[in-house]
Amino acid sequence: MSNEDKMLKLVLSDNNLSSFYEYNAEDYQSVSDALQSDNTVVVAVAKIIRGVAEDSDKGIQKSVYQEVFNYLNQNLL
Amino acid sequence: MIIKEITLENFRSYYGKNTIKFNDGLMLFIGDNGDGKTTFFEALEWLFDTTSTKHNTDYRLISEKKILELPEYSSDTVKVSMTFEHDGEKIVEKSFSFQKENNQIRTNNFLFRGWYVEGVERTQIQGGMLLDRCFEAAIRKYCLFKGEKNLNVFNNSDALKYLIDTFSNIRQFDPYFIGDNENLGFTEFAEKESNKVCEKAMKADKSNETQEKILSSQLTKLRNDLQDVRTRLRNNRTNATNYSTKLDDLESSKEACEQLKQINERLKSLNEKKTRTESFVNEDYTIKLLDEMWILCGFSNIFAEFQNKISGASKEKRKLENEAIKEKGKQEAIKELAKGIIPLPPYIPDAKTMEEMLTDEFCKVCGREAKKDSEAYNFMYNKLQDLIKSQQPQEDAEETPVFPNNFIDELNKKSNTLESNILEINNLRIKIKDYIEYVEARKAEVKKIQSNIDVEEDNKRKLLAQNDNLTEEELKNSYENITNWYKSKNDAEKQILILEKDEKDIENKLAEVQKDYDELGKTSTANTYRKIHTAFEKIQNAFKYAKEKNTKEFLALLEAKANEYLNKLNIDDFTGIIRIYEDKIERKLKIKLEDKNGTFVANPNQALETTMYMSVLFAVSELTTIRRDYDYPLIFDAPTSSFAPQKESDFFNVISDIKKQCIIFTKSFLNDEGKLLNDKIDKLHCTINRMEKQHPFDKNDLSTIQTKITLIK
Repeated sequence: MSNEDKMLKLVLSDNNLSSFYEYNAEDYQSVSDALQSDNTVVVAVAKIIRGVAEDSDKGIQKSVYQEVFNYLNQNLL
Repeated sequence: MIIKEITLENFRSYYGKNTIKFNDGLMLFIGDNGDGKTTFFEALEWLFDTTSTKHNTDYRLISEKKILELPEYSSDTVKVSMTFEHDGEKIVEKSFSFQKENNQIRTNNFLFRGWYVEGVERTQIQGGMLLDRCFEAAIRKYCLFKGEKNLNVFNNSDALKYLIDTFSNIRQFDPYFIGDNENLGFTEFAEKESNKVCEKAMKADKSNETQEKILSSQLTKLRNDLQDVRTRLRNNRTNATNYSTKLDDLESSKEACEQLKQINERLKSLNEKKTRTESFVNEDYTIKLLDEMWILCGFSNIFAEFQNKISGASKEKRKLENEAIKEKGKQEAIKELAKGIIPLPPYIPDAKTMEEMLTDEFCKVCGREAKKDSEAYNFMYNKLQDLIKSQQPQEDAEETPVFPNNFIDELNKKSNTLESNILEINNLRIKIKDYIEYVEARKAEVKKIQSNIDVEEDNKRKLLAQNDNLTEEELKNSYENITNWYKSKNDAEKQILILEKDEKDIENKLAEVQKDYDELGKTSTANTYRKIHTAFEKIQNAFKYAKEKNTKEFLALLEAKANEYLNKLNIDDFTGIIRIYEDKIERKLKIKLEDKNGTFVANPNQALETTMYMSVLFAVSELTTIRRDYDYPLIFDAPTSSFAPQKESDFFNVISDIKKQCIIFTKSFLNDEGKLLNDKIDKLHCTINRMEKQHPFDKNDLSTIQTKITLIK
């Protein structure tokens, strides 16, 4: 299991997040799994982990933010 | 990283080139005090130091023996090199040259090099770089330990945090969540940005303009208040931590403080006693020879000889006088006897007749010829002289005594006079003897006091060495500052409690206002942005939760591993349970020992404390191996000083079964005479080297000290 996958599992295991956005953390073993999810927040978390990890440049925050913001704007009901 | 070979060349007591092979598992180096154990350990510390530059060419690292032997204007090298296995064989080597000029040592040409094999090529690299790559500083910190007291790497308030930061993957969370007001991780950035977007949209919605302004203003004020409280809270926590650290140091050294105080008092008393006793030691014997007439102490023998001589001389005098009297009496007796024959008067024949006979060379009395110079002629001549003499006026003949001077008598008188002084002189001898005995006794007393002072000084040195985070002055000052520190710490802690309550209150108030604001948003065109902000906020909290959970899991794993080792290391003994916990007020990780009922084990014995810290170190080492996929050696100098002999043997056997490269320098397994306890050594299942000083050596001359290492098992 990669560090990203471990991180995803830890983040998704937060009860406040899982109960509010109604997902089962056990369903997601990897970032790739999460990116395929129907749950918007699970995908957003996966996008954040992958996006920030792929580029250590501080300027990445804005682009990842914009990507996730747009994704949430289009998918969050 | 597994150490394969270490070479020490001219490093302090390691004269010449000394190469030691290493294997995996436990390796013991047994040596007595001063046999070079710590020097070997310090050679490794020197090699592993990739930061210091001033210590690199310190002339004190050079073998004194080599310096002494080095001819003028010649040079040699100090070198420590290590061959190790870490993705292939690698070598790291630190060295410098030294030269003797006018009996002074100059050092130069410092080199820190490394080599690694890539394919078939051997590539050179900067030594520090290679070391940092294969045996990074963070890991080295948990690999080398000098002495039993220094095993507690967690005395340093940042040590556990550093450990977690380095080995728990927590740093991987930093780009996502930092939890620091000054720096923002991605989720914190996203939450703030999305909030701005949401608020901007809310402000743009004219339908709720008034309500939005009121709530927005309240939110801004509450956020500012919250930030202010959090800043003050952070400052107070820092203060509390600082004072707590100082007090912890003091607490751990409180006993040392008291001991130091007592040692200093004893030293003061001993020094006063020594000064007082020394004042009684006056060894000006030369002055006393004349000033107090000590020179006369040998007089009685001389006087006896003098008396013998006087007695002899007196006896001889009396003998000679007796003989003279006898001789005189004899002469007088002869004279008396001679008185019976009437000699002719001197004037027969008369002078004229005798002169005529002498001129004629003929005796006209007896009618015989008397040639000149014949007996008869001389007789006549003497007879004439006697006549002439008898005709001269007569002087009274004085009797000459045999001893005209009274020297012998005077000497006798002197002897008699001195006879009365001899008692006084004999008393002087007793006085001198008593005085010297007294001085010698005082000197012995001073020596004894000095030996006590040495013991106390040694105790003091040991005490300060065990508390090397504080100097003696600091130790004293700290003790005096304790009241202020406690007050400051208590003040900070009180403030923390107040501020934490304020923080909670403001957070609740903020949540309420935020709820109202969100409710307002639900009816606004900004509702989508509110949902996005909520999502970012909840994601941020989830990352925060994940980060904390990661730390907890790491600590739980560390704690579990440490307890496994603690059980292994303490056979048939009370072990307790290691707990690694966060001090809520100081927000600092601490380590403690509990029993199974959760009772805190205060002041565990040194052996238990040592095994506790070693267990944590073994656990750290195992976790680093898991996290980094590499093994690392653990190197200890004298870690088991407080262990009972049996516990020590068990301890080493347990470590040898752990299957980890562990290098321990110890003076265990030596008897009081410094000889190996072979029966105990036979029971150990590990590689053992004997370290000892090469004989003969001069105990007062460093340049005769040379360490030799012999593989004994």
